[in-house]
Amino acid sequence: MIRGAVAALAIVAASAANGETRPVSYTVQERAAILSHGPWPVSTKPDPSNRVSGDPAAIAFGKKLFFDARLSKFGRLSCASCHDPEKAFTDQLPKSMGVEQVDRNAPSLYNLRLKRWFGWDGTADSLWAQSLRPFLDAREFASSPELLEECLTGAVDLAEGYRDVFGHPPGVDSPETVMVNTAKALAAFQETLVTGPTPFDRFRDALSEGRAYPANDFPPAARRGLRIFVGKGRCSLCHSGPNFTNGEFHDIGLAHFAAPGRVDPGRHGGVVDVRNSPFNLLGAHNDDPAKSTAQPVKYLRQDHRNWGAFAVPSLRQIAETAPYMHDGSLATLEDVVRHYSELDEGRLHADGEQLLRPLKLNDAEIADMVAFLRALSASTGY
Amino acid sequence: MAQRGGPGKLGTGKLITAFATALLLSSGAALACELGDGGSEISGGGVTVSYRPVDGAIASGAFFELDVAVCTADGAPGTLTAVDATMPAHGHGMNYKPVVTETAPGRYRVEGLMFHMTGSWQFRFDAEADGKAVTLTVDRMVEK
Repeated sequence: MIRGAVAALAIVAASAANGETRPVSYTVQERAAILSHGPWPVSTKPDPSNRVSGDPAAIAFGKKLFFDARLSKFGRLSCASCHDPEKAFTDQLPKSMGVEQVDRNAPSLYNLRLKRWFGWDGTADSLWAQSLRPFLDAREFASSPELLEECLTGAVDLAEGYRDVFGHPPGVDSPETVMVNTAKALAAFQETLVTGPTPFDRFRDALSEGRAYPANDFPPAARRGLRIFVGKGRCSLCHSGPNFTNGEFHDIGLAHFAAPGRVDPGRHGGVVDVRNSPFNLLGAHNDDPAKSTAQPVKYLRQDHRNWGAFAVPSLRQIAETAPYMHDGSLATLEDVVRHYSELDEGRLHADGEQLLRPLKLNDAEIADMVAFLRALSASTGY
Repeated sequence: MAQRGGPGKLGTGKLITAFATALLLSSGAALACELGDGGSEISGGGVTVSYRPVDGAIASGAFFELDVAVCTADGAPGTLTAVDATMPAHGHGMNYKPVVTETAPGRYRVEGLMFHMTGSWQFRFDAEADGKAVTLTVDRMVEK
């Protein structure tokens, strides 16, 4: 009997060291941090700066436009070219290819209504302002307000769609207004791209209610990874809240060069651009007379530490959106976790934040973190 | 009030008047910097700063405003020149620059504050009183 008890203890000890069967429990602080990542989904209201936000006709027209290659100069590219619904609204390339290759990775388009800034550098402070960027970028659609107006005016179906949403045909408006209105319809559609509850969300809700939760849906590896995420990983500091992002920008020790000899200014350039943009929320194209959502750009500060800082992406659906980082330089989730585990502090700004330090995770911990990140994906309609 | 007592001594009337005046001055000093429920106060360098979030609690990721009162030691209004905040343990400040607007002598509304992460923040109040610049700091924990 003693021999059996020793054998049982050895099995438990071996299992505990392996981390496979030991129950995962959380401290009071860890539990509070876990609960802060929900509940999900988060309810939203229409964007007051976009008068057609939430409008069914605008959503339908925006969806049509999203897949229409006529909007680009050479008729070969639509929004879906880089934001493919079957690829979680990305293109699974390190850097996207418009008319030419661009400097950055195509971010996913899920849950955009929750964002404060748009783009890896935050050069847009509204979804509709972000949606008109491809028209103006010579490497993306290589279009212009004039070309866009010509396109919409010359296509019966597009002119009718525009009239149905805005009350008059596109030819009545100036080219710039046509472009802004087109972007607002595109934004109305993109706002509908929301994700549902994930295995993490169901586990989080069970934890909140004091219920047990089946291991097969949110397994022990994911639970251990979650504990690292809210604990020694300190991931929750920046990947915070229900959408797993604080909506701001940080330097995480990645290369600052878009190409040999050419720096990517990141957030620093984004601050300059959004302040100077005629399409920011302080400008005339904001449909809200009170400009109630313009606080971010109104009070925006420029700091040296903005150089090399890029947007903190949401981690929802993150398993579907490889490759990772603003330049697509990390191919897999494991590469991402290893980046933080082996962080080169010498690559961080000397006068920057002192947030990050190498996590020094072992292989099992890295696997656990990846398991947790995979549990942040929900099935979608696409 | 009739004067009582002999020469070289304060009469009772003058004593009561002096006491009442001192009481009024000290309560005036306290009242000048008082912001009511939810207000906090810090002092140093001959300056008192009272501050209170306009909408109650401060939450991470949301813009908030402060009502601030600045007073000298004798209750006169002081001047608030700037307000800022940092996370000393993280080595960074806010991504937004607050704007200070005077609403009455020694009273200010500060807009444009936003703590973009939870943790230990530190307010910094730059004030002027009696020709001297004074900086006061106070810690603020933001848990959600």
